Amino acid sequence: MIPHEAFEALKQVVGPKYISQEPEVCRAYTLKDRGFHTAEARVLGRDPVCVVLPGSTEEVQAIVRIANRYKIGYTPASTLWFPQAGPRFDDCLFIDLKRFNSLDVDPVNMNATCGTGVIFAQLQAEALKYGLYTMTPGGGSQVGVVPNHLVWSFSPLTYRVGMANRRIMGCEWVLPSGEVVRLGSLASGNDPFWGEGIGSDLRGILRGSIGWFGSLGIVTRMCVKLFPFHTEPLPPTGISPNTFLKFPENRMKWYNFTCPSKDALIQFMYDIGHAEIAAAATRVPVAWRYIAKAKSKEDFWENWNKPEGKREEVTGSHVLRVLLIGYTSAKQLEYEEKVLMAIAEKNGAEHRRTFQGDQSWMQSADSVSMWWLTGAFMSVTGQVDTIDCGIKTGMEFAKLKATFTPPTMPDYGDQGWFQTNDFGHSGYLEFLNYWDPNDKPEELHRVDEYYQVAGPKLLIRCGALSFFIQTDSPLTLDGPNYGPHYDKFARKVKDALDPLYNCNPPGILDVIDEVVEKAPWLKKLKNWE
Amino acid sequence: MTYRLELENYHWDALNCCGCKGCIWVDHVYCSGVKYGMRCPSLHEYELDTYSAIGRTKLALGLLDGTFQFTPTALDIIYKCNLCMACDIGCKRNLDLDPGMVLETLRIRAVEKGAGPLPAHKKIAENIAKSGNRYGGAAAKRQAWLPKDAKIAKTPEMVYFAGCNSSYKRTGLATATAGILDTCGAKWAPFPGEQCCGHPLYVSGMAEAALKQATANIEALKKSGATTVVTACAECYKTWKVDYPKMMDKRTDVMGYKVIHITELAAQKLKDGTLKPTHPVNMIVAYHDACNLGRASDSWVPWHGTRGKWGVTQPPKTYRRGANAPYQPARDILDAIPGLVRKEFIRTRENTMCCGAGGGVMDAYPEFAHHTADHRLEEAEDVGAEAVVSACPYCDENFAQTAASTDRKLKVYDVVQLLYQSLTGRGTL
Repeated sequence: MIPHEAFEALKQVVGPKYISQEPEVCRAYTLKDRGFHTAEARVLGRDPVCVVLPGSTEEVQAIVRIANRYKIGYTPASTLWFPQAGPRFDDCLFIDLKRFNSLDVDPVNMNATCGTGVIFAQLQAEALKYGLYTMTPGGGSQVGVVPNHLVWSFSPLTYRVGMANRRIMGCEWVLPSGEVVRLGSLASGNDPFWGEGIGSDLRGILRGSIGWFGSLGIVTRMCVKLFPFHTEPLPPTGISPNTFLKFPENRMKWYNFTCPSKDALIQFMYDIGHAEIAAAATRVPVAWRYIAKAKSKEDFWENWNKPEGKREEVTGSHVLRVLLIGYTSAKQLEYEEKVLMAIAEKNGAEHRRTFQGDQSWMQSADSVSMWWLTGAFMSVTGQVDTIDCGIKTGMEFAKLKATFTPPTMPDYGDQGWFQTNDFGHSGYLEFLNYWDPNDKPEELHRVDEYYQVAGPKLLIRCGALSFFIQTDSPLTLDGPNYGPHYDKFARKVKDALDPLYNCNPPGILDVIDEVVEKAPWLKKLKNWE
Repeated sequence: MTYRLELENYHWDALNCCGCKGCIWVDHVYCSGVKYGMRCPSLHEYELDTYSAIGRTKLALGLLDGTFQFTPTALDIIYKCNLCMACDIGCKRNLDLDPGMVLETLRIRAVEKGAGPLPAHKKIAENIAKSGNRYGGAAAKRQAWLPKDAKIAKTPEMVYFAGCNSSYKRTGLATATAGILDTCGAKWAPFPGEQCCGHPLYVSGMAEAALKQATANIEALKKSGATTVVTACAECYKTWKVDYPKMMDKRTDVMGYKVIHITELAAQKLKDGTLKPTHPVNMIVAYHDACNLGRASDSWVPWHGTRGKWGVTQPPKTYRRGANAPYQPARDILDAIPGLVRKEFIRTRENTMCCGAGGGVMDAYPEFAHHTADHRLEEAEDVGAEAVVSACPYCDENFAQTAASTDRKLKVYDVVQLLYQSLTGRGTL
C-alpha cells in the first residue's frame, strides 16, 4: 500500500477517474500473467499497488514530487509491452502514460511531435497522409513511439532511416526530481527542426547505450524525424486476419532472392549498400515463412513438425528479401530494379516470386505472431555489429540452443533474423526463441537457464554487443572490453539524477543478476567469470 | 449449463494473453491515426487497462485461482463492456485466443455466484419472465405493428422475428421489414408466439434463462413449419445464429434452421431484380457496422478437445475471426438507392467501433453508452455524413437518443427504412 496521504495527494492531481488502488484494477498491470513467461516476469513480476494516469506534463511532475516526498517507487510505461517496464518491486506506483496521445506532424520540416501514448501504427498512418514515413519496429506496430525511440528500435526499414535513437530531435523529460528538462530542439520553443538545442545536448544521457526503460525519469513528449515517401496511396485491403497494404507496384516492390550460400547472401547485402539502393534488405528465419503461410497454429505445426529434410531446408535457406521504393518517381524504382538484378546475377542469386503488399513492416508489424506459435517468445540477443560479426553470434547461438532443445521449440538450426542497416554500414541480428509456457517447471527452468545464464555467457564469449548487454550488469561487457566502463557511468548518472532510486528501481542495471539471485534454480548456476 | 460455458474452459486463453493490446486497437493495417485508432469502447471510455480484455482476462485468472471475489469493483470491470467482440477478433488477428468467451463466461460465473447481473439487468429479466419481452409490454400487443394488408403465407418458408425493440418501440422498422418481405414475394409470416430472443439475458450472464428463451423460440419455429428465421435486428440475428447453438453446444449448421438478416435477403433480391428502388433519397450517409451483424456473428462451432504441446488443439479448433459476417449486403442496398451517397466510417467492418449500446451497457450504464455513440457520431461527421445508417434497432436507438441530446446535426436511420422509402415513396423520412 502507499500511504493514504500520498494517495489523496495523487488523486488531487489527476482526479478520481484516473487513479485506483483497488487490487482488481491494479491486476491489469501485472507482468506475472502477461504471457512473457520468463524468469524475470515470474520471479520479479507483481501487481502494482496503485495505478495513476496523468494527462499532462505538469501532472507527471506533481506525481513524481509526491512519490519523492513519500519515498514511493514508481514505474512509468506507455504500452507496457516490454517486461522491464512493468512493476517488479513491492508497493509499486504504476504510472500509465496512455493519455499522452497528442501527435503533431510538421510536414515541411519532416518531423512529428508525439505524446508518450502514441503507437507506431498511429504515427505511420499520420505520416503517410503527408507523404512521409518512418519505420515500424520489430517490437510491433502496437509499441509506443517515444519509449521505442529510446531503445534500439529496429526493422528492415532501418536500412535507410537508421536506428531510432538517432532520430530523436527533441524531448520533454521529467527528471526523477520532478523538474522538467527539454532537450534538443524542444529546448528552444516550438521549433523542433534543429536536432541540437541550446547549450549541452543531454539527449545522449537519456539514450544511453540502449535507453533506461523508465528508470531515469519520464519522457512525456518527443519530436522524431520523418522521411520523404512517395505520394501514391497504400490502400488497406482484406478482412482480418488477412489484411495488408496494397502496393502501388510502380513505386514499391518486394523482391525475394534465393542465394547459393550464406556468404553470397551477405555479399549481396553489402553490394546493395554500396550501390545505395533499396529501402530494406533482410534475411528472415524460415519459420516466419511457415507462419505467413499457416491458416492456424495447428496448420503451422502440422507443416513445421515434419523433421525429414527440415534441417537441410532451414540451414540451406538463404533467402534475401529486398524492398525497393521509388521515392521520387517510378523511374527510380525501374533504375534500382536494374541495379538490383545486376547485383543478384553477380552473386548467383535467383529471383523468386513474392506477394506484392505490405503485411508487415510498413504499418503493421506482427511481432505478436511470435507468441502465437508456442505461447512464449523471447529474443536472446539483438546485436548491432557488422553483418559478418552479427551472423557469427547467430551461428554460436544456434549451437547453444540445440543443447536446450527441447524444451525450446525445434528450429532445425536456424541462425536468426539478420538484416543490414545504414546502407550496409552495419548489420543487425536477432536470435529468436520459442517455448511452451505450459511445460513442467523443470522444463521452464531449463529455458530460464538458457535465457538468463547460458545466453549471457555466450555473449561474453563472443564479445557481442547485444541490446541486452546493458541490462546485464554482471557482464560489464561494455566496460573493460569497450573503453569507458558504461555500467559504472550509467550508475553514476542514476545516482546523480535519482538518488532516492524511486524511478523504476533498481534501474535497468541489475535485472539479470537480480533474477538469478532470486531464483534458486538459477542461482546455483551463476558464474559470470 | 453446457460444457463450453464454463470460465475454466477459457483459462488457457486468459493465461496466454501476452498483453500486445491487439484487442484494443484497430487492425494496424487499417489504422488511420490517433483519433480513431482504437476500437475498444470500454478502454476508450475508462482508459485504465483494467477496462480492456487484458485487464478482464487477468481478473478472470484471479477469480479462478481465488485471489479475487465478485466484489462490486469486479462487477464494475466485468459489466462495463459492450461484448462487442472487437477484442476477440483483434486477438485472432495474431494470437487466436478467445477473450470474447472469457468475457461472456465471466458474466455467467458472476450470475452463478449470485453476484451478477446488475439491477438494471434483473429488471429486464423480470420483464421477460413476466411478459416475454424486455420492456414489460403486454404480450398481446407484441405484433400490433403488423400491417393489415401484409401478405401472410399460410405455410411460410420463413418467419419474421421482429425482436422486442421493433415490436414495442421502433415499430416502423417492423412495418418496413414486412413491406420489404411482401415486395420480395417472400412466403413469410410473423413469428408465431414470439418472445424475447434472450439476448439481454445471455449478455448479462443469465445463460440459464436465455436458454429457456431459446428453447421456447426454437420450439415455436418448429411448429410454424418454416426453416428460416428472418430478422431486422442484429442482436436477434446473432442470438439465433451464434448464441442458441452456443448454449446448446451445437454447430450453427446443425440447428435445423437458418437465420438471415433482412439485408441479406434484400440485397439478393436487388441483385436478381425483384426489388427496384426508384424513389430518390437525397442524402449522404455513413453505414455503421453493428457488432452483432458483423464481427460477432460468425457461425458457432463448438470445440471439445485438448491442448497438447505448444497449445495445439486436438481436434483442431475452428477459429471465429469475424471474417464471414454479412458486411456487404447493407452496403449494396444503400448503393442501389438513387440519390443516396454512401460514405464509409473510418472504422468499418471488423474494425468498427460499437455504438455503445451492446452487452447490456445501455441498460446499466447509459452515460457510457451515450459517450461511445457520440464518439461514433463525431466520426460520421468527420467523413462528411448527414446521417448515420445502421441495421440494428439498438444502434439506431442509441444514436438517435445521443444525437438528440447533443448538438450533433446528424440524422439516424435504419437501412430498412431507407430501402422501404426508396421502394415505395412512403416512409418516415
